[in-house]
Amino acid sequence: MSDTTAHVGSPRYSAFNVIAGIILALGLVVTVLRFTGGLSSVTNLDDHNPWGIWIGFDLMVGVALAAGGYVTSAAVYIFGMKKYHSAVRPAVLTGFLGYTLVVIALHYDVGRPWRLPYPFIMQQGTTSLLFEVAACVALYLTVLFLEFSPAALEWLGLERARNWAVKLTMVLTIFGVILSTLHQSSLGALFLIAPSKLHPLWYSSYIPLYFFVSSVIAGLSMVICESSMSYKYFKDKMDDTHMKEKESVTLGFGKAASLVLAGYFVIKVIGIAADNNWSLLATGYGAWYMVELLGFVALPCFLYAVGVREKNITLIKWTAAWTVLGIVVNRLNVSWIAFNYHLPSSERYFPHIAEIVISIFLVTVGILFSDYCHPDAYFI
Amino acid sequence: VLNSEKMGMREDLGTTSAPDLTHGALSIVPMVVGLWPVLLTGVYAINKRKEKINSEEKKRAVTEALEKAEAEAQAKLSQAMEKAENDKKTAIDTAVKKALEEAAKKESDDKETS
Repeated sequence: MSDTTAHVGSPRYSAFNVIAGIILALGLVVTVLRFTGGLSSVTNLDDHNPWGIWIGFDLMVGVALAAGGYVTSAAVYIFGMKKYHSAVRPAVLTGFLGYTLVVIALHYDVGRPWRLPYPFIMQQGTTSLLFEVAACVALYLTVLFLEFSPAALEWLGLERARNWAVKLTMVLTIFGVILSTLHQSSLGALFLIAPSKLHPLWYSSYIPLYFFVSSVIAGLSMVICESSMSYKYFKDKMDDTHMKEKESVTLGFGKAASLVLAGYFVIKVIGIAADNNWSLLATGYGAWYMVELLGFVALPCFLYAVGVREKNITLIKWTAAWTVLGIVVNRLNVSWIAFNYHLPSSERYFPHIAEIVISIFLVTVGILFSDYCHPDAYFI
Repeated sequence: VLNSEKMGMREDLGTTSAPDLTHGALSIVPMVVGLWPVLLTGVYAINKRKEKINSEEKKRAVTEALEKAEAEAQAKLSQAMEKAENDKKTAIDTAVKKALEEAAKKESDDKETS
């Protein structure tokens, strides 16, 4: 731990530390305002726009980008791709941190956060998709905690408990895949209830499937991004296995991402055909839809393929970052940009500065947590 | 007469109820819970079996290669032994023949002298 503290305190990080400190201070001030003055004091939410960026970005994007955990553990433990083993622990850690931040973000967004456990103890409401979302978040966060526990138990030196936790790996991985399938798709399914609000190009009866498939893409791309970031900042702490497997993780995951993107592109086109929305492509929203479909789905699919064929690690890394941006664009399109598209611009939602501050605050907290985590969490 | 449009409410919303819109997605949930574990355990079992067969095949290939090498070495050895035996026999035969010839020659020389 002392190593980590030392490197964070080095001059290379000082500018980052100052900016992070300012963001944390601002975030804490807005947090106090939010929980003393209520939602109206720090957000632009209203009856037309009950969900802002705390849902669209913090939750929708956060959950999608945390998909690396289930994607990697399924690849290694279920599909037997053992050569990617070194990528499992960082991916599960990121998933765990991501989901924790999603739950924290929910406390800001939900009017009465102390009622978050109500679906389990007061009234189930099993006909509501929000019940499914609540159940999946709670259960999957628990699964991620248990999946991550071997690392924590190693630090604590509890060898016997660690061995028990390791024995649960297979069951937890299967649980993780089930819960992630349901959770990722249910976030898309939430919008099924609003065909009159979401633009027809984004509204589709396949939207749960789109969210699930795109989460796999997000997970694969995030693992590639994390792997290159951790290599940059923690190179000296990586063991031989990690260094050896690093390139094969990037190439293998890049190949998988290219394939899944190709499938995603096809099902998106099938969605347009099924609803016969071709004519809408000629509108302004259609142009933006094409930017998403061609720029953030077809293009990275092609670039990943080229990168893998030519073994161009740099190209794969940049494509991964571009793909992650594409997932952010998609989730914001569904939850914000193409949502309430029929309203006059005066009634459209734009986030309050305090909402943006909280979103940046939570991302910063996530980065700081990853940074301060014991290096063992990444490289054993 | 008041109409909802004048009150700022939309009239193009159709008549499908909210539960009808989400019923399809929710009905798939129990199927995912029921079938995903079967499918995933199946994939796991297939991979496990593949790995087992791989390692068995590898082991068998190594054993076979060792056996073959041993048999080849044995054959070479016995061939060499046979050759050595033959050589030895030939050498003995030659030596005996030579000795006999020398003895016969000596005997005839002795006879001639006497």
